[in-house]
Amino acid sequence: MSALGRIFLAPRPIYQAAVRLQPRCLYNTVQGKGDFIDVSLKEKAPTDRTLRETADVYGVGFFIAELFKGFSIANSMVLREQATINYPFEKGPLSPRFRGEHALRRYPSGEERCIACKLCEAVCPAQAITIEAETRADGSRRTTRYDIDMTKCIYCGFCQEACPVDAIVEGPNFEFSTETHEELLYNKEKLLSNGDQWEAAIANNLEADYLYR
Amino acid sequence: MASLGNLLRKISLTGACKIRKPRWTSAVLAPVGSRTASNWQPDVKFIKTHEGLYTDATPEQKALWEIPLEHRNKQDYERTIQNVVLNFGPQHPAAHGVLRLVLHLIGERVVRCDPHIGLLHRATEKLIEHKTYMQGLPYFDRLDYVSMMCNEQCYSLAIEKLLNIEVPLRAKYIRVMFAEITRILNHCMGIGTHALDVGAMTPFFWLFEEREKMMEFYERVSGARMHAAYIRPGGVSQDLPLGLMDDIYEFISKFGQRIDEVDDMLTTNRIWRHRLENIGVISAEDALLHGFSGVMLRGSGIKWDLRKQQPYDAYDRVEFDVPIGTKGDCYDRYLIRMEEMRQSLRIIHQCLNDMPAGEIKTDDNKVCPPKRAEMKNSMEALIHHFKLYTEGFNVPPGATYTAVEAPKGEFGVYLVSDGSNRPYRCKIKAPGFAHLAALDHMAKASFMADVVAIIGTLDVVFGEVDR
Amino acid sequence: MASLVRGLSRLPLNKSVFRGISTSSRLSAVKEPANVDTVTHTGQVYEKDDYRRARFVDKERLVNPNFAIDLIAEDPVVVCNRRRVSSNSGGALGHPKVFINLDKPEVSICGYSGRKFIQTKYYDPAKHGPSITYEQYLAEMEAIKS
Repeated sequence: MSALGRIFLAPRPIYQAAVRLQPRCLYNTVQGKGDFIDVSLKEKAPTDRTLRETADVYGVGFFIAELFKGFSIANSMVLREQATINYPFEKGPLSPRFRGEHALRRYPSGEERCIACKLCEAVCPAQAITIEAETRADGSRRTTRYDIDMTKCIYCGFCQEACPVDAIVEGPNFEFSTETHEELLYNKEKLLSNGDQWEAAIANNLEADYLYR
Repeated sequence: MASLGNLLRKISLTGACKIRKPRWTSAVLAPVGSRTASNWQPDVKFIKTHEGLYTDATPEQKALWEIPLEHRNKQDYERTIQNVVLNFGPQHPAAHGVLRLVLHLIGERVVRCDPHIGLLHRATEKLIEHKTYMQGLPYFDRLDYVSMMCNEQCYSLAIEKLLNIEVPLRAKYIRVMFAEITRILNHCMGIGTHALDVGAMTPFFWLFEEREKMMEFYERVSGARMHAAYIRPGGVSQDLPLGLMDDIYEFISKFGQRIDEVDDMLTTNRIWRHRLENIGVISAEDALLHGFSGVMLRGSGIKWDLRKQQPYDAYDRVEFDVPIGTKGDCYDRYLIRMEEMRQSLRIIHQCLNDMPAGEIKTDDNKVCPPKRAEMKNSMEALIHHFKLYTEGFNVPPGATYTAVEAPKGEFGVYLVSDGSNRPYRCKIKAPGFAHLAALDHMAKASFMADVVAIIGTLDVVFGEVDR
Repeated sequence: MASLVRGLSRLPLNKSVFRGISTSSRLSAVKEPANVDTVTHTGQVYEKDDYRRARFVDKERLVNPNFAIDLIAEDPVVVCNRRRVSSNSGGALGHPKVFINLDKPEVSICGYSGRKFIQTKYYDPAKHGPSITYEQYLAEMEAIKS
């Protein structure tokens, strides 16, 4: 716990002094002790105003001063750095945990990781995964059919969490739009090819993230 | 004479287009010049026999048929006068989602407004009954789809109450921190779209840029910008990545200035005040009677906040104020939302400072899956992993109503469990449902433009109203 | 009308001119890709008269050429002195740990990763192909883990 954190438990005057040392915007609020505070507009009745206040009210009213304040703030945005990014050439930041297009991974030896345990099929909330399995020619347990209906998929990442061998992963690709619906019903060939294509990026993301999982 | 007229017509210059005499005309319409008295004109009796449907049905059969409107005589049906009925339809930029609002108007004044909901009904509660508890979690993201983690938090709290487990302290602080980030997300959306509907377009863009930054935090912690299935029963799914807390600190230290900018733009603005003051006024008694919660109650002066009244997670360990209003109009609720954003900044700052070290989910592997490294080494961990991701955990029989202070109001889940791995019944109490139901009461005798302002201040999102 | 008939009679009466989809390759506009008859690694291929081949017309058929069964067959066998060996494929990024008993005289395969193991006394280079020692295998696993 930092020093500033402990100050929250300090007596009131010390707390307030410490709070004043913070950046202004963090305490630009009515700092109560944890009460219900009334934020409604408290305007004085015209008879209670002092002369200066009356002049202020009429001055602001005549010169539409608060509208000019708003205008000036809006216009100041022109001189600041714009938030827009030039999409195809600039893209937003992505983290290693980003859940995008699915891929089936392989071991470094080239063997497919998926052993048809069907945990991903069981956990998928949208029932987007369909699996059929058979013993392969060399006796190992592998899938013959592994379809993910990308239009049913909700990209929740549960299949990735469920897979005990890190076979099905959600890669960092989000630009996989197609022109026909059928192309979005991925089969095992497509998913394996995705894996081959995106393995470098996926491996990097897994390296960065596996200690948290 | 008539034959000469016919001859002249035939050899006229407009010979291609012949002037045809109508087959029958009433005597009134016949031109004066042509003496058509020798022609037969239908008399009243003839016209009467050809009224209505042309058919050779018997009168008994005809009596059974309804004559279409255009064939009736005007005296046969009553003409009614009614107010303009306007469909403030499902496709409307200010209708905040899919709201079909049938407005009965006299001129500009609203006589009655009748919300027709259900256009986004996705049978959520029914589908949850057929899914395990973990599979039901993504449904909650998609209910109030602008404040995702608050809904997940409510569901997780309900399940934890039935399971009777306690979440580690670090998980509580993470949940509170993200719940407050979610509150800021929601109010950015609420105030931004409210301003947009009323006509102020600029704060919308500024606040949505802030939303983008916060969605980046969502994405860094869970993998998805919006529907993060992050807050799970038992804690949270993954720990905060390194560097995230520094970035959140930087964000909140600058966000206060963003609120100030929107504040300067709107709060003292005479146009804004004229549009919002004394609009949509609801008294405290009426608010309670209509089942309001959250900001709608506090706008009328009622001191009620679930984070203070029934603290959950780490809300009893952080210090924050709760703003209330007095008049119960749209302007007070706007002020409350602005202040709530500032108080959320305060809470997040405290969470960042006080974040304890520790685990982020309960170590009870009958509820929470084990870590992957452990799962690959230990047989028991592998079995727990397998059971949890196929069958899910079993929740002891019981029923609970758990509510949280979602940004829109009180979001509650009434969870009934029968001891199996699926909820027996999961009823969702959405704040927007009750708020929208009172729209007629609030918008009576106001202008149509005020209806737009009132819908904005109700802060309804149809994902939760229709479920 | 008459001129049309005269024009038609002047044309060479080639049968292919009057067909919608021509059989001559010079005029063909739609065709199936070259790998439409390639069998995939799961044994999937559509028969010649299967209507589902229509989905490949004018498009590429995706067949992944990297058959896993061939790739794993190229892997060298791990020869070990012990009767029992554990296979992990590299810790937290691999698969759940399994222990494989090597008492039988044939190559034992790890169920997850397809890694081949055999005891030194049963190993025959002619039958089992190239090999690596157990220490080399452990070094590989360490390299993957780090």
